[in-house]
Amino acid sequence: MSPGVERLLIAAARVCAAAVVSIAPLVLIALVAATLAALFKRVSMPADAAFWLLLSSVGFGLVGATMGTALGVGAALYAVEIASPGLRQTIKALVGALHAVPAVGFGVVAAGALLVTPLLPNVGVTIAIASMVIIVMVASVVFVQTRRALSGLPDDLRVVAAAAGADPVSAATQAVLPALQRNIAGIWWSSFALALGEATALQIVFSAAAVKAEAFGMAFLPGTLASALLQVGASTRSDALLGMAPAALLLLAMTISAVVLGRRAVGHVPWP
Amino acid sequence: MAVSALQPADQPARAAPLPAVVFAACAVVLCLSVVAIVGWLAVAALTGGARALNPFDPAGVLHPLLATAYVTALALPLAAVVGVFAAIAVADVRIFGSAAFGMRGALGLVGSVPTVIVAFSVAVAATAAGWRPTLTGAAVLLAVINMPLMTSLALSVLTQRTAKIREAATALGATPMFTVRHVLLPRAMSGLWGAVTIVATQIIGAAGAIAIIAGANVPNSTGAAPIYAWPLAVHVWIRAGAVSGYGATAAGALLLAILIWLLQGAARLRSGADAGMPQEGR
Repeated sequence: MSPGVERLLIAAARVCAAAVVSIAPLVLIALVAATLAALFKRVSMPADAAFWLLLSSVGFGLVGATMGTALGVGAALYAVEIASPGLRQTIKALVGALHAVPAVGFGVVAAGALLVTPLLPNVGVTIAIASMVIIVMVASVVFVQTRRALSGLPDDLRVVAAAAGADPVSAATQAVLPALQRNIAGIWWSSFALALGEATALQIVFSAAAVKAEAFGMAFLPGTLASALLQVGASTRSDALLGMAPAALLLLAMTISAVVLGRRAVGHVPWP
Repeated sequence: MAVSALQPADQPARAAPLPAVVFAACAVVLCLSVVAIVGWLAVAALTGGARALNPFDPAGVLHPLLATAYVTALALPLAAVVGVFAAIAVADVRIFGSAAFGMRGALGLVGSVPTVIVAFSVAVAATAAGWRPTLTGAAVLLAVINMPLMTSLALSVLTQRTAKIREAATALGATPMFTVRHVLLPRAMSGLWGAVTIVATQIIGAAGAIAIIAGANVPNSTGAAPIYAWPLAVHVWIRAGAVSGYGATAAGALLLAILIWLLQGAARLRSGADAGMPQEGR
């Protein structure tokens, strides 16, 4: 390879890396400019609507991250530390299949539960269905992350536990789980960021609930910040789009904060 | 030490059934979830599968599959090439110097930005500029959205257990690109193919990003040009809230899940490791 080609390729690699890293600042600049424009044009969404979206986002984020992390970590501990090799392969295959279900697949199933069954979409039912969707989606990701974390633990830990007379369950609860605490903290934060940003499945759920609730004259939930961004972003190019910019900026700040707090807690956050 | 709390070997180890039951219940819930989801989609698809296969039916999936192929064919090579080159730059401290470590940290932050926010900011900027992206523009922007993921996966493949090899190559006077071309890439090709396949699943499963960028529900939208059909994920998303044609929508969702499952399986076979990554927006 001639020095000229080498220099050209290195320059291309530098440009590519700089371009990838600059995505987040560019997004931030676009959203700040749009927020300023929205404030200037006075097209921001009403404060009470924004409050309910924020509350809903944080609520579903907390429920999804906490329950999803508990479910995913528990399932991974059972599969890796306790289950027989045959059962482990079955669980891995099934959770792998769950992992392959796209967000629209979760949404279609949840919307079907609302649309093609006699279930009435009151606020409680909608919250329950949306919570289940976000918990299972997060848990499937947590399962993979926890398996990676478990594979990173030294084998000596299990050897020592076995030598101390621990059966697989005792080793999992008293040796492996304590050693995994920092990883679980990081996984929780990345799950929280993931749940905050989940839009597609939740938007389908809230949309289906709204359609049926309107038909029955019932109240319905407005959705989360992310689902509202998807709903508005895909359906309008008017000032209403600009009006959602503050919500997008808020969601970006919350997500980045979650990732940064996770890094401070654990050293790094696994890829969401 | 955590293990110091264990029972000594001279005492009989007592099984702790409750934790085992709880962990097993977690695994059962997850396994039953996939059975329930796939079972529901399959049963619902039985009622509308014929419509889904009819190319002249608005609920048909053949044209959406064509649009999916179009978007993937445009977005994947762009994301792969830029992602691999970016990973090469970040992996070698001789290219970026001490800033390489900062770049790696920044990559993690970029990757954590939800796709819906990136797509929304693109839609706002495009609207301000008077640009109405079609599927072609959406595919390019989808490539940009997936570049951080591709970079991160490629970086992982290029740097995993290669420190000593790099050190040896550098000590022998190899330039950064010589090291990449003749030392790292031959070892990493299968892993890179696995990474590309994972990114392909992200692109195929992307509904929200394309819907926002191309304005899938905007009245009189021309975003589906030049195929004049939405990619399968967007097609399913648009129709998911409607009772009419629910079976065909479920069939489309099931087809999408099978497609992604096959690709993820291929990625695992290629990389020889657990390469599972979350779907779009997850």
